[in-house]
Amino acid sequence: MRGRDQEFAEFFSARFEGARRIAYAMCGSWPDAEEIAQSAFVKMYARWPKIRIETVDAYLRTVLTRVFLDTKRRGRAREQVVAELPETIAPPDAGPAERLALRAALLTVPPGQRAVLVLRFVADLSIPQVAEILGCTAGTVKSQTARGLTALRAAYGNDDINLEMRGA
Amino acid sequence: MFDDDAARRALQGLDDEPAPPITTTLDQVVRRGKRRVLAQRASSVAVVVAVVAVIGIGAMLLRPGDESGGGVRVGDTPVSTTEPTPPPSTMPLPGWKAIEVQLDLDGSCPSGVPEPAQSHDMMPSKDRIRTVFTAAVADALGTTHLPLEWKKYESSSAFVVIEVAMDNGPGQVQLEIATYGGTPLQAADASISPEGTCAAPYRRVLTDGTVLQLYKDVTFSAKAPAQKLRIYRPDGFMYIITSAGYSDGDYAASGMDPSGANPTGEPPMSGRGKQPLTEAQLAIVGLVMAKGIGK
Repeated sequence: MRGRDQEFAEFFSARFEGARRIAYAMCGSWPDAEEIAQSAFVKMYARWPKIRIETVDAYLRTVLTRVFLDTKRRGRAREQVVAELPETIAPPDAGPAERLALRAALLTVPPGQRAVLVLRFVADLSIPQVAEILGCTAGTVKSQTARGLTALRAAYGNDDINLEMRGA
Repeated sequence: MFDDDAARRALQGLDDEPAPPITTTLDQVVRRGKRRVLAQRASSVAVVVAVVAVIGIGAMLLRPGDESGGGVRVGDTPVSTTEPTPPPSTMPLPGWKAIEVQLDLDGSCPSGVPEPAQSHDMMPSKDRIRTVFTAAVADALGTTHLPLEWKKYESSSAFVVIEVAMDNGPGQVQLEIATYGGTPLQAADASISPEGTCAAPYRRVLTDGTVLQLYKDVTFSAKAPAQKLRIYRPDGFMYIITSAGYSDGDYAASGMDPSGANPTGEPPMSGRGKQPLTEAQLAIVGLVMAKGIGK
């Protein structure tokens, strides 16, 4: 039987980058995404003996999302609306302008709705999977998705977001 | 139209962005993880030691004084051995206990992780929910005129609201029903601080294993305050009751869809500035609901 640390090491190697990307999609900052992913893996390590291998990925997404939402809630009082978007979402060597505009628009969506959009559309999870992660109902996920898309559309300022962005 | 497929294609494009190198190492994670495990164990030991100490000191203080020393005399009247002094209640109602919130090592609120939802009994009927929920709110408020509106009723989830007239406009008592995983206590432990406020919730455990958890006010918005109580029943269903200082009109005015509960706890922008239920009344609603729905 393999040791706990060896199993965890393999899991870390295989999943950390993906987790960091999901966190980045949620928070829009690579340093914050790194911290969120790291905190999630620390929590996973502490509970590792109790986690079943068949549910480990779902568990990681749950922990990651909770850490992100907790971070946003704690920082909510300090958040201020600013005229200029922070540098972290528009680095000079970033991709197409449309992608930057979409990311900027995504960051204006409230954190809970943003998490739903990222889990559904970036992580490509089903509605029941997202409901399980957030500890809410499928109907709530649907309504949060609708609200999130409405907010995203409004922030983007264009109903016809370029759907060919992926190939741009 | 920005539908689901279009959103998926557009948002997945964000994933193409080049990422900086990873700076987190496995050693860092394991080191922090081990510290976390040690801290959790130390906290458990500290709680046990504190409880033993309190019991010991309490026993010493209540022991009738005698000439041989060792005990502290409590007045001149011997302490009754048949009617022990009940512990002081720190709660709106007797039987509730404050649950300690243990912060993470980095000072953040604990972000408990629920167990995956599991098999559950049949959802209580609409009639049953309506009867018990209405009776519970009526008991707490002492009124019978309580318009109830179903927002949703499905096989494993439901959402229903009762509009409550306050002196400055409508508020709501909301009830969301969903399934959960693990035991009632595990689920309650995993939701110690669902709003991320770190405020200690109050808990009451019923004889059938049902766990009620009453949270402090959600203070994200002074205009639209809310307070929540969760009921974890052994049948696999949880009931989230919200005393909301706002109503459907406030959701609509804030551009929010009033048809579903909000998992982030974000209230609308407007509201009455106060809640329709006091903390004690919310506790009553929870108790009546928990006991009534299982019959």
